[in-house]
Amino acid sequence: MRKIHSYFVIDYYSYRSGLGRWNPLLKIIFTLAALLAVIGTEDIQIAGITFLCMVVLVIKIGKVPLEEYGRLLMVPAVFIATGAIVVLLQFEDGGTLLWKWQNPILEVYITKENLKRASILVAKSFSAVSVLYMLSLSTPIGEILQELKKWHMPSIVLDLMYLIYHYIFILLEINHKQKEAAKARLGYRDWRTAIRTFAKELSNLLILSLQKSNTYFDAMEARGYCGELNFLVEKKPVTISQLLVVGLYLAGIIFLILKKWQGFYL
Amino acid sequence: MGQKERLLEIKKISFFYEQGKPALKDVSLSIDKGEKIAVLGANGAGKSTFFLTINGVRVPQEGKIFYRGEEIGKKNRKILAEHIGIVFQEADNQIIGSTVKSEVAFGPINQGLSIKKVEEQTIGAMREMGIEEWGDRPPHYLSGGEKKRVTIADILAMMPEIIVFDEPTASLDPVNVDMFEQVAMRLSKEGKTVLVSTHNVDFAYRFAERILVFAEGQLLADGNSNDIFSNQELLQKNHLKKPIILEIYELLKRKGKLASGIMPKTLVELEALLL
Repeated sequence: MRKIHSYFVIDYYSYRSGLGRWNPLLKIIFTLAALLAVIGTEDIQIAGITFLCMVVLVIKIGKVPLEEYGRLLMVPAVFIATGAIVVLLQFEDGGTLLWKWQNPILEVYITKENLKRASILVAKSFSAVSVLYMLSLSTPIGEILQELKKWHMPSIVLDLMYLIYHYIFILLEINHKQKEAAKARLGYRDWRTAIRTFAKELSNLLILSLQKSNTYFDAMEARGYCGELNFLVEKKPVTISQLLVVGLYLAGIIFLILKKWQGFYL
Repeated sequence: MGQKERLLEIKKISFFYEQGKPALKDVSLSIDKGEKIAVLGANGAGKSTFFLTINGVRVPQEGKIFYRGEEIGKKNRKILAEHIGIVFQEADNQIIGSTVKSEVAFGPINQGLSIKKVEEQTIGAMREMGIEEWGDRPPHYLSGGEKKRVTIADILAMMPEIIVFDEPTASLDPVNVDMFEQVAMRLSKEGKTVLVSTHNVDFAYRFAERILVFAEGQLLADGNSNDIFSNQELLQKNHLKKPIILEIYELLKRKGKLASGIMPKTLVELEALLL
């Protein structure tokens, strides 16, 4: 396989993942169950265990390099951090005070309650992200859409999703080439020129994509396309070991939830 | 040679993308089973439109098309796509599947075959192109030559009777051009009818028995390759070069260094004529 661009990383690993042999339906159910557990319970322990399980699965079985995974986590980390800061800081007095910063213009407080809320938020978010990364780093888009098709999602929506996803890569690649060609003609020599060049690239890309859409349609029709995209689905049976992993995780989570309930009632 | 089996017959078809400027004008020809045909002509001469028309993607505004004697109308134009496959010039324009296997299987599935049959033809075509190991790979990460092989397998999997290659050697490196030539020869030996559009006259002369020359939407010439390449006026008018082997053949003949015999297609054949 060729060297990859940074934005292709998720797609790239989704085809090579060791989890790729897993039954896609099982993975989707696993994902939904884990998401439900993480979001439904306000529990750092459950979120932490889920995060750990997913990271281990993706890195040990999926064989995604640790640093690559870390880099992928950086993207949502920025959003999660901003969100957490907003929850954490408080501009009025109140609650169990942990820390304060006062000056004539601004007063900032951090309370115990807010700290707890922020840490739960961070834990839940990272955990949910790791669950979705488990799915998307191991399951090509085609397989996910095929499963949704079985669930009677309208095929026009799924076909559009598929085509748009497919052509994003082509557009990115064309733009990559445009950019190189523009650089070769000093199109990025300074900031002003760069802005102008970029705008021209985009308008060209629009025209190109309109032209190309005709060609693509011809090519599809030439192979007998008549309104609905159908692909060969590779059968990936559920194996005992897959069930074992999913079962073990779910059993652990259910145990934790029950323990928590017991704590409430006793 | 047995009885000729007529596959495709085209009678005076014209196609207009816009009013007044025909992309194809009054093209008539017929194609028999097992023919090896090269299609020559400048860019924009109508080759690609011609291919899309015989495949049923474009419906000509005038003229008639028959496949195995059956007249093709708007309703049954799928017959054409079933039996005539096009390998497009740009692999990226053709590739649609997210794995090589689902890509190759796209055509057979559209043909409405049973899953078992789809599987069989897909694997068969992938084996034929030497890509059976790539089943799970995503085609958009393959190199140019590799993509070409996938797009050829795409068409083989549909088991068409006529295979059209639209400028297959453009943007391929010499190794892959050789690969393509071998594939085209092999397909022809297996009894497929092969049409190749190309700017490479050496290849056209080597490969094809019959040459079609297009210019401005019209079929200017249709004949066997020796006649076409001996027709100085036609070549000049269409800016076609004479195949290098023919040039050498004529030169040596003028100098009296050759025995008389058939016009050579290869270096080996030329050597056999040397005195």
